[in-house]
Amino acid sequence: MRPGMEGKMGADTGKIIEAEKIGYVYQSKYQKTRALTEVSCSFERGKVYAITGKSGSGKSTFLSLLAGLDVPTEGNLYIEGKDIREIDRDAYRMNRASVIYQAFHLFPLLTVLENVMFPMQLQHVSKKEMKERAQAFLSKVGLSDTLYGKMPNMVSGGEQQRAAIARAMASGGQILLADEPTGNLDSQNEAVIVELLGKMAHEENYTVIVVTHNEKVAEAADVVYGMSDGRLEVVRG
Amino acid sequence: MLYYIKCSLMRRKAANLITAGISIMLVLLLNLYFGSVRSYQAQLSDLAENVPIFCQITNLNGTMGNGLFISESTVEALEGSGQVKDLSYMAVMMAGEGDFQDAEYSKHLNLYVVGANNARAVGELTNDMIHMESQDTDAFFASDRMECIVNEKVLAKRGWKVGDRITLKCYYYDPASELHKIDIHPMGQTAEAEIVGTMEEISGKTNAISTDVVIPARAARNLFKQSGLTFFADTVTFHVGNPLLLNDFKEEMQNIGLMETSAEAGDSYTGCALVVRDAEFIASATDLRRSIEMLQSFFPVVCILVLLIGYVVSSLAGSSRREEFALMRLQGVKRRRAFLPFLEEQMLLVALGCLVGDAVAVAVSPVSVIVKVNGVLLLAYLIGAMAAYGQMSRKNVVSLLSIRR
Repeated sequence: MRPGMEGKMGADTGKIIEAEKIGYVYQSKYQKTRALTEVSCSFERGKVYAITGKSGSGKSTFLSLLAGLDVPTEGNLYIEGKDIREIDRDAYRMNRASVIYQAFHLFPLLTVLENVMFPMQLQHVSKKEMKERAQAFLSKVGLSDTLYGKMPNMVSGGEQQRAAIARAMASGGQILLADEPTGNLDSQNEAVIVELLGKMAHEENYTVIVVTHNEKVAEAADVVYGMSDGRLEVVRG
Repeated sequence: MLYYIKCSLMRRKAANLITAGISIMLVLLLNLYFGSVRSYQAQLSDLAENVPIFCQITNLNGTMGNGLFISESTVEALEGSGQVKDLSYMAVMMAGEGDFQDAEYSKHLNLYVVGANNARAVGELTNDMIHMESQDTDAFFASDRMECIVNEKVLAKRGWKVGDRITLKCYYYDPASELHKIDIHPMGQTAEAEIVGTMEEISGKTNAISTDVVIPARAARNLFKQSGLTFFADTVTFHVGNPLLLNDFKEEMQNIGLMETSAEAGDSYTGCALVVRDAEFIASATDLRRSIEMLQSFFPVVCILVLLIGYVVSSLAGSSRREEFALMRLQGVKRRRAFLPFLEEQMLLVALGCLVGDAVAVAVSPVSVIVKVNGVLLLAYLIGAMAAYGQMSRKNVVSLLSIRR
């Protein structure tokens, strides 16, 4: 088992992530800015969570902490029962959690198929298996095989976001963190992505955490948190 | 990651061509730099051959280079010195053919006999002007046998021919003579010499005399020894063995007893001073050394320049690839490893540029220079590129992703 995959609570309680009074202060040379204050919450398997709030309220900072891109300056954040400060956060992102963004962020020099194969390359999956699994994930998110060989800038925004979700699936992790995943999409593609995220949680037991401004996305979530001035509160759940 | 590098190499053709092109130009420029240093160094080491330092023993005030009395011990010390090469010396005697009464010497003394250790020692004489059948000229001058070569005109006039043995009664110049009034004395018994060759008339005169008979220097020295006399050379010239060790040479010459000339000294026939014609060599060597030192002083600047180019090119390449780096980190690639594909790709392109540049440079630069160029370029560029990508890798992933393409 790779570092970052061990867990004590996850399988038993369903709680995969637990935040305990976490706070975060951005510290620059000249000033300190508090982004999060005493945030406590937990995330379970098989559910879609939405975190809503105004710009600058701390949503994306919270998502970065959940992705292991940084650690809280106060409080504790547990991933499957382990303090995030103690786990190998790179291995955590490689094997357990994936992040998708509003701007899609596919590798610009790789084709759609190669993008989905990339996480499996890091896990040393054989070339044949990697290709088969990547094609299966792309098919699952509804992308036709005519797009597999195209470069990201040759396909639409909705298709790019679906490819990004397929890449997240390919990593094998069960945590999907999404930062405004529908922000650059039209309503039709937005609906497709929302449906896809719902299916991942409800049919494949993913923990999906979506940071969004979008009310429709929030409505489709099982639990909705609201964030204001760095403080988190349950809106619905 | 290799697959990623392969894709990147194939799909960023324009940018990659620019990087490889910069590398080719750097290879050529560095070849120019190192080639210049090497060329100057080669000129300096060849300077001894191309600009030899000529030395001549003179009297103390430096007014006379021949017609001197130069002691045998000085000649022997010069022969044994590692700092001396191309040593030429000769001794001049007068002789008459056959045996005759000393009182009648003025009627018989009509031959100038020169003992020389090589053809150069005898004024304008060269090996081409000497005609011998039984041996070569070098062997003749190196021998101590009583053999001689005779001026063609003298040979014809006296009816001699090659192979004849001639009897000579020799007279030597007295080193104790007063200035401008040189005494000559008989060397005792007569000497027999075999004519082994002829020489053409020398247009330039040695010691203001025409040379009639030449015998090997060692035979001449034996002649003095057999007569119980001290040998003196008339003229001694040579070249400095290693002009790059000129100071060592001068020190050794002082130890031998040769002094610097002094314009204030009076006239004499004693050969005890040394004239070293080193001005041209010193000027050339100084110029070359200055050029080499100046070029070599630029070496750190050249390295820093290559390093900076590596840094700037990699920074520019990296700034357009921040998203890719951030995505690698997002996929769980460790910070230290996430910039490696970009660095490896950059260095691969630089190495490719080196190969192309080397293929061009090999026509004008030696392999040693090309190896040095590649070493300096790859190392300095690598440091610059590592600094650039290292700087990028320290940036926050989210902030890198927020910079839109």
